[in-house]
Amino acid sequence: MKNFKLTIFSVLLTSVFAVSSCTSELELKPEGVILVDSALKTPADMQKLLNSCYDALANQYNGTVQTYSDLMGDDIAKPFRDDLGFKTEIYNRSSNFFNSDVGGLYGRLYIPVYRVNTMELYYDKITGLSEDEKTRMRAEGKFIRALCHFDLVRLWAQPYGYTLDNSHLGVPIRDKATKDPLARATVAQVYDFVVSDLNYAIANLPAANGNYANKDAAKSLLALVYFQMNKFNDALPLLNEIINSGLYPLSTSLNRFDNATAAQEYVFKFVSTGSNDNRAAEFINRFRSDNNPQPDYNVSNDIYNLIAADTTDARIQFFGTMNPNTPKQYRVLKKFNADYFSVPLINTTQLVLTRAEALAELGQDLGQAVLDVNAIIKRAYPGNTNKEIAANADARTILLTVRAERRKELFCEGDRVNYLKRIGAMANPLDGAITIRNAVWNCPGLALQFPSSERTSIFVMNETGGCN
Amino acid sequence: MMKKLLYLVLLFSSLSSLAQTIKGKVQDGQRQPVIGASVFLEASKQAVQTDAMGMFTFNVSEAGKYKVRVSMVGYKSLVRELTAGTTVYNLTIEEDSKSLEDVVVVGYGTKLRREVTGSISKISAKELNDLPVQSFEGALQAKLPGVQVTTGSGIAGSGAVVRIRGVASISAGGDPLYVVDGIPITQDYFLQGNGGAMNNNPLASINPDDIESIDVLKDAAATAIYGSRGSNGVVIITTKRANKKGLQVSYTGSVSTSQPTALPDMLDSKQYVQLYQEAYENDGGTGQGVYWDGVTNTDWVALTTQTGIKQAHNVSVAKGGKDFSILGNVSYNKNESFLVGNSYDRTSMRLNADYAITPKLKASLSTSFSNGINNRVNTAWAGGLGAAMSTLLPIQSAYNPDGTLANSPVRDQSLRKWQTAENRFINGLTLNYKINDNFSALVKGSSDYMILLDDIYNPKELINTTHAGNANRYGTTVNNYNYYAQLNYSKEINTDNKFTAMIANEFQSSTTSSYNKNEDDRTAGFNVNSDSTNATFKKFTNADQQWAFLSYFTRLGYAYKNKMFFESTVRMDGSSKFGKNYRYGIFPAFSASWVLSEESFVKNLGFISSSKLRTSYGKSGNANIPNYQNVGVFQNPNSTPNYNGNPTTFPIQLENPNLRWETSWSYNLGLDMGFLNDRFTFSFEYYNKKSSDVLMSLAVPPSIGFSNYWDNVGKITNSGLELSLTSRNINRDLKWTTQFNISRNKNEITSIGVYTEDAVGGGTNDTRVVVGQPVGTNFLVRFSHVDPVTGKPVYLDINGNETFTWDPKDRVSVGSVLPDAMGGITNSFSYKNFDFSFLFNFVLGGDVYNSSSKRQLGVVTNWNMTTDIFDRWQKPGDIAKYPRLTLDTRTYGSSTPWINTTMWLQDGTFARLRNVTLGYSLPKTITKKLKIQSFRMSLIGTNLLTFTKYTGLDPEIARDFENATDRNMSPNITYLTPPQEKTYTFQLNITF
Repeated sequence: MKNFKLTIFSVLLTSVFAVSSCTSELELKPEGVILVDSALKTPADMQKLLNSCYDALANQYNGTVQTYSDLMGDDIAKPFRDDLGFKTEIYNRSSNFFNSDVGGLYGRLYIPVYRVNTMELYYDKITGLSEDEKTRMRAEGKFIRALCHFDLVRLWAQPYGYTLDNSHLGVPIRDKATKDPLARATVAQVYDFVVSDLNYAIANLPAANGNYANKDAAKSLLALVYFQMNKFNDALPLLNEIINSGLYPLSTSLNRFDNATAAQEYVFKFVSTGSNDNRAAEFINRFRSDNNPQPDYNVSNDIYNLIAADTTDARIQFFGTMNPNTPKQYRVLKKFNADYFSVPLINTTQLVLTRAEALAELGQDLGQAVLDVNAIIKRAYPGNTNKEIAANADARTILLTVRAERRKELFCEGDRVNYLKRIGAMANPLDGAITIRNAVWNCPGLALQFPSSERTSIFVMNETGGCN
Repeated sequence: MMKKLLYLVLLFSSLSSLAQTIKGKVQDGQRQPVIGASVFLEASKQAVQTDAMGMFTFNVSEAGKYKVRVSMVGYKSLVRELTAGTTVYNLTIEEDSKSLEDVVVVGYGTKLRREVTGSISKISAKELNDLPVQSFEGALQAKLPGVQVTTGSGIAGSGAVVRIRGVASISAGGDPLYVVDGIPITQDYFLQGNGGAMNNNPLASINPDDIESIDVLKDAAATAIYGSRGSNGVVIITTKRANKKGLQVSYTGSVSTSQPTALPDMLDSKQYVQLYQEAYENDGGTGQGVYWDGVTNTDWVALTTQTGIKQAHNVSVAKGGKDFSILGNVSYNKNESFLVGNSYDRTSMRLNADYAITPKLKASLSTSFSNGINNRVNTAWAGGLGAAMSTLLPIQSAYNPDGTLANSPVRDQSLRKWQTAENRFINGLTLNYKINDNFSALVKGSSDYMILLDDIYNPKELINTTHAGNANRYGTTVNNYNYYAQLNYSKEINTDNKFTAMIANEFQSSTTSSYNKNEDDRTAGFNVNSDSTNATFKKFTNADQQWAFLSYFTRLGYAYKNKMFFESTVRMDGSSKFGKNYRYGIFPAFSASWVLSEESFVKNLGFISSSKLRTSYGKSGNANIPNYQNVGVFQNPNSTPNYNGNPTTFPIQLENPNLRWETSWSYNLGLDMGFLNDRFTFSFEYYNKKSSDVLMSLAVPPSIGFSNYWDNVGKITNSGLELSLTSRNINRDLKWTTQFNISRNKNEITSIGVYTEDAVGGGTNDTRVVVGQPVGTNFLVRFSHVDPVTGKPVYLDINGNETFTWDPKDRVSVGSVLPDAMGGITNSFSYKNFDFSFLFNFVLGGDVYNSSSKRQLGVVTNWNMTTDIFDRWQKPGDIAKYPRLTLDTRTYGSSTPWINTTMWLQDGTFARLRNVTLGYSLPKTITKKLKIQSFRMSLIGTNLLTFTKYTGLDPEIARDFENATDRNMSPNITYLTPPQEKTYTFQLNITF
């Protein structure tokens, strides 16, 4: 009897504490995903992570970054559909922190930055990664990081030159992978950061890198950054290297987005491999007019009239008119009528126009400036030799011609608003008061508003409104 | 051993001498026999139990007088001297209303109420019986102070939102822990998201007829034993077991009707066209604004609602015995709601058995199976009645010219076949071994196994295809099991000092698997025919989700002179959900109580019949968060996109090694008193609960590169008062008892770290976490009045100045999301064979935000409006409630359509006649003739009357939620939520 009792007792007692061996039962890991410790082990893993940065970036430069900028300007007409509410707020230059389209783009531009910064944590832990590969990856990462910060500071802050020393607030600089909230850096600091990253990229990127960033891509991006800063002297040497290399000749086609004919101009592009892998979705879905009589975005009468004024301007081919000669008439765009295309981020037309303008601003090498602008004009007004400007034209004439042609070339490609802000910041009395669709170039609403979740006790939001 | 010997001796001696008997009948105050009362013969130390007639017999050897003692739970003991002979004595025992002798279920055990030091409220089977509810937690409403129960809307099978002593969580689940017969059951409200505007109700498949009692643990002393999961309270459900000797068979059946408590007053065609035209012309439009054929006037509300019929049957067979007892329940419930096409049918079976293997080793088994079939409909924002309140216009015809249903949500519902089936097995086996007089050991294993199948079939007429139709099945299986072992020790050092101790170990694990099947060209859904026959069949299996808890805990108790009780519990909990730096947590609690009515200074007062003071202080936690939030994770390589033809990989979740449970330190002080033999009793409590490390699903600054992250950031305080009174006003042939309870909770967020009020992801409709305000405070732009000159709405900016512009930066915390007080009052009457009772529940203060009215009464769009809109501005000089009608949002000062303002925030004070019951029990003379024990018929009405100033459908809101944060943060938001259900029931209870 006693033995029986004792047995039961000890069985129960052991079972009570036998479960203590189950501590390992608490180490449960999710299935169907990879844990961070096993995700990045080989050089191939790092290359995949780098590739995902381009992937994420391509999905923002599919027309989103470009059109959010253009909506605030004078080339796109006001969206007239109710359900485009958030886009209408951008058009009105009155975005508030609830605008999830604007806030969404902001967050998504920092995603490639986080991934690049994560790579920094792992370079020394990867076995089999050669120094050359490491340097190349790092350089590509810095190119990506610089591009993101450049467009973030251009869209969400007042432009470079808004204050004399650029101590006005910019965007947070993310140079490390951390989960801590940050305050906004000054615009001067952000541009310094962008320039420094691009200089590293230029020094360390290979000359050829397939469809990924190469030395020329970094050089041309830096040139455009300097141009935005109105630092023409710094921009010129880079522009000359790219354009004079002969690797990217001007295409005879006026349609920059027709990959078949215009691809020679692409210094850097985002790749679409088919209609299932279309990295131009926002351009196409918003503007395409051959299969949709009422696209989301139409072009403004302003830009239409500018181009239609001269009947020899071949760029009229990019416009269509719906409900002609009625009060409900509107103009549609034909530039993006395709199932898919690769999106050029930096192209020769843009660089040539930039060089011509920089030279004209500086009053240097005006002969080259004339050649540059005439090359564009020749292509745009086929058969009309009167449009070319004289070889001895003065700087101001060249400048005004370049500016006019730039608008007629690059409309709806995301260039216009940043371009006008740059001129406004230069404050050249000859240019007069710069307005962007009747709003002064530095009104508060021309800087998009940050999403509400960015706001913490250390983060100052933008002022809103004041543009209409 | 000694007893057996004595009995044998007596037996032999009785055979050898002249046999004498002592006979008696035990009855209660109404002269009804008391069955199963214990009768103890002092002389021979013999004890017997009274039989079905209340009779007992003792055989004694000699004539003379013998003392017997009669005792029965719930009655006062009676000692009488009886003379051996042929007389049959009547012994009448009185009900013992001294509430301190109740048995109360505590965590991992039971206690007498006098020994309880924590704050525990209880509801019994009888009260559950008289309030037929779809889901049992609805029966708790307005009965237990501090327990706020908001019943789900009238959707069949929907669940209630239960909050014990306020809400102490933001993003983690704020519901209490539900324990059924020792296993914390699967409690996921979001297993199916919020499809059709309804969340999963994990309690729907628990049969209320199976429940013996529900004990709600409220303070730390009671809940600390549940460690990292007890801080939002614990609801312990104990199912019925056979506890009386002999065979008991009973049947309960009922039939009910279901109607909505209120229906919306939508505009008819003429009114709609007229008001649309007014808006159109206000904006400068000319001509006809909207086309109407002049005839069509569809009442969509009538087409989407009905009077539902319900029926319920329960048969219970129980056999009690000394060594073996068993109880079996079979139930069938068919529940139609007032929404067309919607019903919840439940079939359940239970078998609870107890077997004494040896006198010291006892085994208990509880098994149950439940099958719940929910015929689903879309409602609220998803369709059905919600569409009738919004996008369905009276000028639209419901029928095509040929008489068939026109394309509309009504047609959708008639064609779509949507059914959710739940099969649930909850089982447990306990072995209890009494080692000796001081030690006993218990080992228990339980499991809660659930199979949930959600089947949707869309025929070709609905989705316009050439093939037969499309079927979808979402299958989820949850395997939840636990195991614990406990060692108990109790020692009476002497009559004044008693010491008890318990040490235990528990392990619980739950695994959820889910998949989705999809197939085209089918003639029926997977629930009708589970084969997959053609090439379009696809199955997607999701990764399994698993969590586990491992705990060690102990409870020590000391009783002094059976009037002072001290207790301490400590639990160490480890969970797979926590980060590696915080794997285990320790949760202690201390409590004490003093039965003042045992003290002479109280006894001398005479009129105080029971009195107890209790206090407690302790720590509990909350771990109800999604799995795996602590690990850093990269995307599944099978679903990463390619770029430029090359593969990618990327991080999708930041690691948080410091993720840990929420902690609450609670203090409780309670006083229970009874007067005049407990004819009047009251209970009063004060509590203060400070929660820290409150888990928030943060919308972190997106410049980090992520949008969401779980972190322990917040601090919340809940404090309040609870009062309950019971008074037996009249206690003669006519009995009248009143029960009243009221409680008040103050909830305040005291910190959210560096984040701002917009940081917490998941709350919709502009409710926010704001320091200094309760969780889910409405954060709205203030609306002031309608400008009599222009008819435009006037708002107040952040400084209180009037403006026509609506700007989200002018939002402030407004209104009160939580009520000032809530409670209930029940009056019960009985006279002879009749009984009558009614229960009012009330909520005082607290606002409701009627989010859908901002579209029903705002800018005129493709929504219908309610008749409240008649009070709108029409011409300069008008003072009106609503502004000028318009089709352009800019008239109301914003380019954002449907803005949130205080115009839609209303006082939600209400009183509701929750339950009226009128019952009649057949007298014993008739039941005896019918050879049955009891027969009762009753008429029950629920939610019959509502008194409120709120102009929406129903001030009691528990809408559908998107996730746990939404469930905590939107308690007072309604968006096309269907109203509560009003029912009339006829019920029969028969015991054979």
